[in-house]
Amino acid sequence: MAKEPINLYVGVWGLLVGLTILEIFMVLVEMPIILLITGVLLLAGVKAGFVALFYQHLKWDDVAISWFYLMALFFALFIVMVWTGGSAVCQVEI
Amino acid sequence: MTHGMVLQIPGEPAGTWYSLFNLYFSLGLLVGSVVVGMLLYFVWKYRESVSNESDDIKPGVVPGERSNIKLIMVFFGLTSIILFTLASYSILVTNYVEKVPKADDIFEVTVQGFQWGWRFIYPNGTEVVGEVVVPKDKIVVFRITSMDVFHKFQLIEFRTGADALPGAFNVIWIKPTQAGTYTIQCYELCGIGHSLMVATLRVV
Amino acid sequence: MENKSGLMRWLTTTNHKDIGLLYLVTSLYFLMVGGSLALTFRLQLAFPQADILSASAFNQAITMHGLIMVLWAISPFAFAFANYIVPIQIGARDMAFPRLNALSYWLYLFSGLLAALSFFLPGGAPDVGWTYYVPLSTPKFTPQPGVTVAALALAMLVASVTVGTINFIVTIATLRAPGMGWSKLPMFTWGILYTVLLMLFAFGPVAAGFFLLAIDRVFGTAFFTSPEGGAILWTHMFWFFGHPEVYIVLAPAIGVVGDVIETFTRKPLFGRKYILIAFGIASFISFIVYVHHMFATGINPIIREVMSITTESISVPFGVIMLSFIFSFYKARVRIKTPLLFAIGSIVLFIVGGITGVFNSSIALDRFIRGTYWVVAHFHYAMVGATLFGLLAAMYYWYPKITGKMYDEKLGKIHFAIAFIGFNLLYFPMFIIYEMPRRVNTYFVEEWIPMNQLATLGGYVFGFSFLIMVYNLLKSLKTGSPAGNNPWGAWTLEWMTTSPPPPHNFDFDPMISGNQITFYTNGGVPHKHVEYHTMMPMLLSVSLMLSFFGLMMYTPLFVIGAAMLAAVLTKWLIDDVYDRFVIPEPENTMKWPFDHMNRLKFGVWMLVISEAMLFAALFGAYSLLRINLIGEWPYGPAVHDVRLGGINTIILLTSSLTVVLAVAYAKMGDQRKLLYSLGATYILGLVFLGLKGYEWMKLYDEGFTLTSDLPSSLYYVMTGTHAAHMIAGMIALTYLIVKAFRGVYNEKNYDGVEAFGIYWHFVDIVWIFLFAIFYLM
Ligand code: HEM
Ligand SMILES: [Cu+2]
Ligand SMILES: [Cu+2]
Repeated sequence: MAKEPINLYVGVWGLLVGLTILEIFMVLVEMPIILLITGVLLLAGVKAGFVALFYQHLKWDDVAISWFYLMALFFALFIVMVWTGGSAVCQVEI
Repeated sequence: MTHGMVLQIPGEPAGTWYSLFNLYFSLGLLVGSVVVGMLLYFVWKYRESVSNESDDIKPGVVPGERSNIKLIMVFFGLTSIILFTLASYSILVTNYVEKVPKADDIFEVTVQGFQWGWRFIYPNGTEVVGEVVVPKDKIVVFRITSMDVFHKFQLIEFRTGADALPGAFNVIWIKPTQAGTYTIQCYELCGIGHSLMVATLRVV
Repeated sequence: MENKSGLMRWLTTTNHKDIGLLYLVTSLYFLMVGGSLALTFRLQLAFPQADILSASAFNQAITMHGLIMVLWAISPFAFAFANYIVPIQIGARDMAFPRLNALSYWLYLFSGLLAALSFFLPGGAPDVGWTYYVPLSTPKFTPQPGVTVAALALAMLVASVTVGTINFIVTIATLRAPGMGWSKLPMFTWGILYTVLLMLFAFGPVAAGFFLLAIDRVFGTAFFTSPEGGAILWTHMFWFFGHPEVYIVLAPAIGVVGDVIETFTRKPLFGRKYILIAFGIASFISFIVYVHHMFATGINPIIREVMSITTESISVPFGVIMLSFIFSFYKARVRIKTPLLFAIGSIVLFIVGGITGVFNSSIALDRFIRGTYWVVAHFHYAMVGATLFGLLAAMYYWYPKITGKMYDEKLGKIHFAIAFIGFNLLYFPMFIIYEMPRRVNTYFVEEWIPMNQLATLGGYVFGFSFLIMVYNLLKSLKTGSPAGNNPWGAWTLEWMTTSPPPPHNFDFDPMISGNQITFYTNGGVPHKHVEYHTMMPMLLSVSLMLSFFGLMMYTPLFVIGAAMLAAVLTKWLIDDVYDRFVIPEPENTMKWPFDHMNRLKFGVWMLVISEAMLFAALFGAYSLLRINLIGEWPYGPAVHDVRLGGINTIILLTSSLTVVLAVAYAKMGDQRKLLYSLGATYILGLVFLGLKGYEWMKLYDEGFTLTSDLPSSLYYVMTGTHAAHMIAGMIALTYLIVKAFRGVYNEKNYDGVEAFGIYWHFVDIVWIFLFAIFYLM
């Protein structure tokens, strides 16, 4: 990166703001809750991805760091899945 | 009280539990003795005073690789096979233990753990603390919960148990085939009365 | 930077070898404390009707025994050697962050003292078991302050561990001597590397768990008292950490055993590469097996069955490792010395511990085994047998290096024999009476008494064997024959310097070309050593301990502690602003695959990863509670102001932009724009926090308070944790702005800004998710 991609940074910012407005818009139009939840989480994921990739410089930095991040992401998803899946005590079938 | 490896099986699932335990035990003992035996044998056989092998560790020289991928694959294969055997049988037994057998006539008791004792509620609503009487040769189901903290409801001789959690129900079953008196005890630390959180199971 | 002597040296040192020795002495002290507790409650168990310990005293003793041994004794014992040996093994002069290394130690020491202090509080030490199961450990059932104080001590220990983890990862990854590729790292360094990688991902969630518990206990929220969260939430939060923790304990010992086998069989370790691969696989799997501690809870059968299978399969890589260790003796020249005896003992006992662990992994068997002495026997074979024996091997192996003297070989062998016999007398009987419940202070089954008495006898024999070691090691300090540089004829780098090594480890920096270790001759001028001393790490830890203790027991003490903490932090930052503690980053070291990482940036990245795990557990708690409260959980937009939240989100996103611009301007050397961007970030951060505070106040007025219900508690805790991270960021930002004013940052030196940016963006990412889950759904 000899020259700093300042325009890119500003562009990403525009996108992030746009996605945030889209999120709020999704709430205002009152869509079915399941759709809303999926949509909102997906958009949050995309936003986080952009911040990580461009602002945290993962795109240009050592890939090994991305692996650390992905590992944490994997464990986070694992935790959420197991904890919700395991939350209700299931009874032995009678 | 059954003790150690002495089998005195009061009914199910204890019988099945022992058959699984014995499989784990025999394979474990076999593998353990072979492996430990091999280790001790090598140590003795290649001890420095009698070994003709060369000394390959030199100060300041990173040693090379010494391995044999075939042998490693054998290690991998053998352990996998043993564990696969154990796991498969365990899954079968687990499905058996965790599913109440079909029967027309199931005797169901609700169990409430509390600091520090067990309350049993019979189908007709009678409540008794400290002792539960169940019929022989029938499927008996315990619906277990807790009124305060985390306990574990354990039917020692029947080799089964489940956690007693506030706000949730856990279910276990037994099928007693021997009349007699058996011990119920709490197996999760629940405060200063934990050691005394005992009850009696009477099979008639 | 003068050289200090006497007590001052130890209070202010930042040298990794000094810190290693401090760890050694402290961990042995805690080992003794934990051991004495065990010998006491073993007496009670041998004479169950004698009332040697009351039920309450017994429960306190077993709880503190478990906590102290797992967290303050055995793992730090390993880190004594890690601190002393690892930097030398990789050919570095010190750790990457010597000052933080000292901080790790002092946090560890004072957290341990804080935990031990709980014995003297009204109601005594925690008596809830080392696993702190809820609801027992919530105030309704255990109101005594000791339970909270020990939980806070644990939080302090997590801080110590996190700092240490970051330090070791950065050190091992970036400070390896030229030519020392990953495949040439000694086994012990690999063992420590796996240990800290496990720590990096395991400790965040348990910190979150104890954090929620402390909030329950101090502020009266209901995370762990309500049936919706309660027992199941806690077991998840605890065991996600708890299982990897047992490998954290074990991994250093495996490393030691590898090095010791290599040295005393006079042959390269058999299948070294495959051992390392298997080790890596096992480390990963260890995160996805933890539900095997929850088989009897009756949660979702599919999850339990899957984790039963992953648990069985973790034995495969361990099988490969152990068989490879064993085949290392095949066609070797086995030199039977004390360290090797302990290593062999470690392998044998691990085999027993591992095989009996497989029994527990079967749900059908574990329904009964859970909570019995079988488990106690199993994990002591693994933790004391495999791990402690491995670390005792390390003790004898490196004693000549650390002291320059040889220990008495005969006494060493006698120690091994007595320890091995005592150990088996102690734990094997527990397998025989496996149906006995654990954690009972009394029992009425006559048949259990003989085996318990045998175990108690074994305990005293085992305890006695340590006296032989202490005698041997102390006596040899005076009368031992000089050890020379390399008494064992080992190949690793620590044996290529004097015993004990000079403060800077090597007069001439080592390098490896091909397979040969050589030294830069540097024209015959030896490396000049600079000592760095500071008392700040010690003072910081003391003030943290005081404020935690005061928080629970005596408010004025809290005020004093907090004021001290603020003063120490300020002094630390001022030292940095004036560059009073600058250690040049070495060049030419091996860094792959982290070639673009400088020390600071890498460190911050690792911090971010551990924070990510902490938040992962909080998000996990959120999803668990939300599913359990389905139907009752309020729709986000109905409670929170979406527009205001949206504006705040945009403000925070904008602050991320200004930070990334700051980094760019720093790199371009534009001082003025750098300052503007940093200033803008500061203002945006303030605005965000201000709006947040306004929202909180409004919600409080509407009756949506910290304790009103679970959704509101979680909202305040999660956004509050986020805000705390922002405030920490703002403090760092203040420091950056001061430095930027002094014109420190330029094209060559922008590490600080860049590292700060990584942290700030992470905080931003957390908010993106918080906004989504609380405001939008
Ligand atoms: C292949 C190896 C291993 C397997 C398959 C295994 C499996 C298990 C299982 C399933 C349990 C749960 C038992 C229960 O509470 O019902 C358990 C408990 C435990 N294991 Fe292991 N384990 C292994 C190795 C180790 C090692 C190496 C350590 C420590 C260095 C260890 C330490 C523990 C501890 C501390 C507990 C009990 C914690 C408590 O309830 O207080 N295990 N093990
Ligand atoms: Cu109990
Ligand atoms: Cu485990």
